Amino acid sequence: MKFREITLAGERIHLLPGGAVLLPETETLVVADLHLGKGTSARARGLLLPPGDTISTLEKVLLLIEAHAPRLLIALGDSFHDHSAGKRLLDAERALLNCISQKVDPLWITGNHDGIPVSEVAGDWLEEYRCGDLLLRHIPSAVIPAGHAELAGHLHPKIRIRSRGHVMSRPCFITGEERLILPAIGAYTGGLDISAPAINSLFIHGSAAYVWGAQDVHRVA
Amino acid sequence: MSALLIAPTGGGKTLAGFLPTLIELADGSCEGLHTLYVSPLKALSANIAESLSRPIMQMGLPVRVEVRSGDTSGARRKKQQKNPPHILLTTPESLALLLSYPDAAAYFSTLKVLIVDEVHALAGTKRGDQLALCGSRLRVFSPALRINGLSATVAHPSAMAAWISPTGQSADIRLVTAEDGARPDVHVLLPDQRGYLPWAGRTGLGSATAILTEIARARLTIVFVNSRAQAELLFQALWKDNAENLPIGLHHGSLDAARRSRVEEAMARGDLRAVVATSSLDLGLDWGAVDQIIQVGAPKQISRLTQRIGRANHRMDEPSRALLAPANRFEVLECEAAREAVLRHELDGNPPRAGGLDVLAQHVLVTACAGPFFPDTLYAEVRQTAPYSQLSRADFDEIVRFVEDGGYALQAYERHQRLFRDSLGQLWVRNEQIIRQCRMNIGTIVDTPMLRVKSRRGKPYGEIDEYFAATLVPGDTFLLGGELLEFLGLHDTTVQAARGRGKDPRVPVYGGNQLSISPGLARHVREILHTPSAWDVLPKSVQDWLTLQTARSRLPGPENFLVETFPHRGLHYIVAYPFEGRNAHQTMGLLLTKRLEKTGKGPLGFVANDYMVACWCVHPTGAMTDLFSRDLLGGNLAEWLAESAMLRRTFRDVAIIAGLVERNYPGREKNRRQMTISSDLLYDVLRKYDPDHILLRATRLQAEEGLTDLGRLSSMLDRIQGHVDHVALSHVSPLAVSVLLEQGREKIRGGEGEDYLMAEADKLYGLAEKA
Repeated sequence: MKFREITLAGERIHLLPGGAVLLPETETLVVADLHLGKGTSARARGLLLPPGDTISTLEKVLLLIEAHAPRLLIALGDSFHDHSAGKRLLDAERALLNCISQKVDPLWITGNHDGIPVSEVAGDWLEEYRCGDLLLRHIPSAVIPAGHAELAGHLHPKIRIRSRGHVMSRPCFITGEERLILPAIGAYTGGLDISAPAINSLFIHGSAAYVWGAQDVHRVA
Repeated sequence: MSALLIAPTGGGKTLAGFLPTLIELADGSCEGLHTLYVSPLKALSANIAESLSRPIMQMGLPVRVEVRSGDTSGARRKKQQKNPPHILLTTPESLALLLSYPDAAAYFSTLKVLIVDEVHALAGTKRGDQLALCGSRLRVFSPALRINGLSATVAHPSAMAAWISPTGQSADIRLVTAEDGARPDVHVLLPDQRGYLPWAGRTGLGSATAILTEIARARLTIVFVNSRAQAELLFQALWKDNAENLPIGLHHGSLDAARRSRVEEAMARGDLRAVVATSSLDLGLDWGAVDQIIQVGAPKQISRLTQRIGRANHRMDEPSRALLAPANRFEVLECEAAREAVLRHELDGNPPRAGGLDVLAQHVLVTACAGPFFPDTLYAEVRQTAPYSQLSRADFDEIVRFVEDGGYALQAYERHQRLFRDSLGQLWVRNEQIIRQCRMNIGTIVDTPMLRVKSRRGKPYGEIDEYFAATLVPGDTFLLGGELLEFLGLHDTTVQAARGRGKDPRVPVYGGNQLSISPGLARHVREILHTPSAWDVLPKSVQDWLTLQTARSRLPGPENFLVETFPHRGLHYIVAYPFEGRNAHQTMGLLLTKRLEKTGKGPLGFVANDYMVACWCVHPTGAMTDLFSRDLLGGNLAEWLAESAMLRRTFRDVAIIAGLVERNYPGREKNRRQMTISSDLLYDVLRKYDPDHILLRATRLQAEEGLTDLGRLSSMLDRIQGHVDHVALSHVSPLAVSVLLEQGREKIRGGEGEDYLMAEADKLYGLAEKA
């Protein structure tokens, strides 16, 4: 599998197929918006959705870890869909989480869905993390201090591509001079088109969008 | 004894169905609800109520008639509940809702007769499945219940009788068949003197002048069209040309009820000379004395055409007059074929299929809402209905388990179940919230999701189909409500647009079921095609078109299996002409794209109509004899089908009907946005972790109905070996144009074709950056 390298605030960043980011200098794997426990979150209301989303998402993260052997795993917020998601974890899900934390130190950034740390999982919880001149947060901030760049999630960016009359809609990375927004990785997460003001307004000086296929990461906008 | 009355349209059968009821009620001794009338259209119930009230008033009968539909006010419902009318007119959905209340048993205990109107429009549909299940409940509350079914002429009368039978057996039904009326008088109506017909298109606007001339000749004409969009466009085109100011009305399902009934009344009074109508006038009472019908666009199904023609026989002993106005060249052939089939009294349509498991799931929950049930008893009840007479106990139990706790292989968090079992083994609904949620989701009609179109400042423009919206990219323009709008983006569930300029705006297509013509008709069309001596009856533009096809490519014949390949808009196309009907061609499109993906041709999609199938790829398509070899059927078709957009769409409907996800009501999305998960994502997860889940099985069963069985395709493949007639063209052939303009394109997602397009876009960025 091939990655795509970009540079933000002097830091090399690898965009990986699957929607994760690797910071090669510090051997850090970054994923955003896992929304673990989303499938079971509406059960109380009588909606019995297929519960496999959490396992599916965790397996995806585990595969990324096995492929890139990072030292540190940073989940950029909204890792859990709600505060009680940790209590609803099934044995198989807990086993996968354990397997992940044995291979790598997880660091959980708090998000709007999981503003209160979920105590059932291993790893530290922080509101923000600094990695050199890179700032890692859940919600993209309007202003980024000069000389810095930001990695964020929250917005679930997606793009529609039309080529030769064929239209496809894919989750994407979107990046400008000082920021990178990661796609949501959770199995039940939808997306927001990058033309939406919430995303568009963050890239007034232009942006590049990257999607991934079976093997490669491609720039498509 | 229960009975089924089969009579041609316009025979007055609906009112006949009420006669026994009126006789029984005449002496005033009956208390409570006596007769329940169910029809597929709520507008029909209102019409019937009016027509019944007249004789009841005139004869001074002590009979109360009321309508119960989604439009009935809360106060009225309460009144109906406390003091039931003698005759209640309703729809399958409203009946299911009534059955979800705990007092249903008492309410329906006095019921003597169930009248099911328009049986032919219900049997074999999900609404019909729901009604059959509701009927089985009614028989529990009133064991002596008689059922009277009313149906238009159908191809399978005894299957229809079994369908309404309380035992699922036709032997228990008295079948009454009315005589056919006089042989209809059917002609093909061509656009104008020069006989020019467009290549493709389905609106028939070019025929407006000719249609007006025919309207002027008769006293009252119904102009039947195939879609609401076509109705709007044709109505405008007719008025543009209408120099004599002939009073012409419009009638379709998206108009509000008041406007529709004004048109109906004007028809009845004889104030109109013509009405442009969709299937909204297919069913129900006769409005006024219709002299002729004009079918604009392909008639598609013989039975439906026969019913529409029947609208013009206000006197059974006089021939009905009908004109068929083709909208494009292929439709000329189809109209010819259909005309002959109607005159031969042919009927098409399949016998009702087995009931949907998703509808059963809804019924189980509705039943539980009314009160606790024993699974054994409910199973026995359900098996009494024709659609579920073959239902296995294992499937039933899986559906009950799905309703109970989701029925997933992965044991999910136990505390939240919808049903719980008591010590006797009865199942109860867990709480009020689940009952409310169930009632909100009752019904089996799943509308195509519509998205609101608004300006940047939030000014509303109207609504467009979600699938159409998905084909737009920023900068595209489209027409809506007479305005040219530019697509800015899709935000949540709103399309943002601004007044735009530019040429070639797109016209939104609204989803709806596409009818497939019967395979017999398709083969008849092929006979006309390859018999140049039969072309004399065709208009000159159609003859020229076929001659052009002969010159540029070849005609598909009985001996050769024509396959054309050509490049078109940067893609490589394959068009094959099997003439086996749309369903068979859909299956073939799936098989071809599967093969093309496997051989690395990067297929991006396919589309089928009744005559042909087209696929397109990013790479040149290779040898056609290899592609159409016998082992086209090999490999894992089920796997490929499971990936297809077709199955994903089917799953969406199944998930809504079965109560896996909630319906999206306008205004309901806002607070629930967090929980709106695309059914595609649910489908992927369910397939991965629970491939044998009952809803996936329900989805597959349903999708397979829309596809032709592989046996038939396999014999076709045998037939064509050695006869594949491949013509490599430099551009699209005259015959192939029509399929390229066909709606209902199926995309191949996530395959090599899409990867290639993304890599290509990337290369362009690379070049741009270097430059």
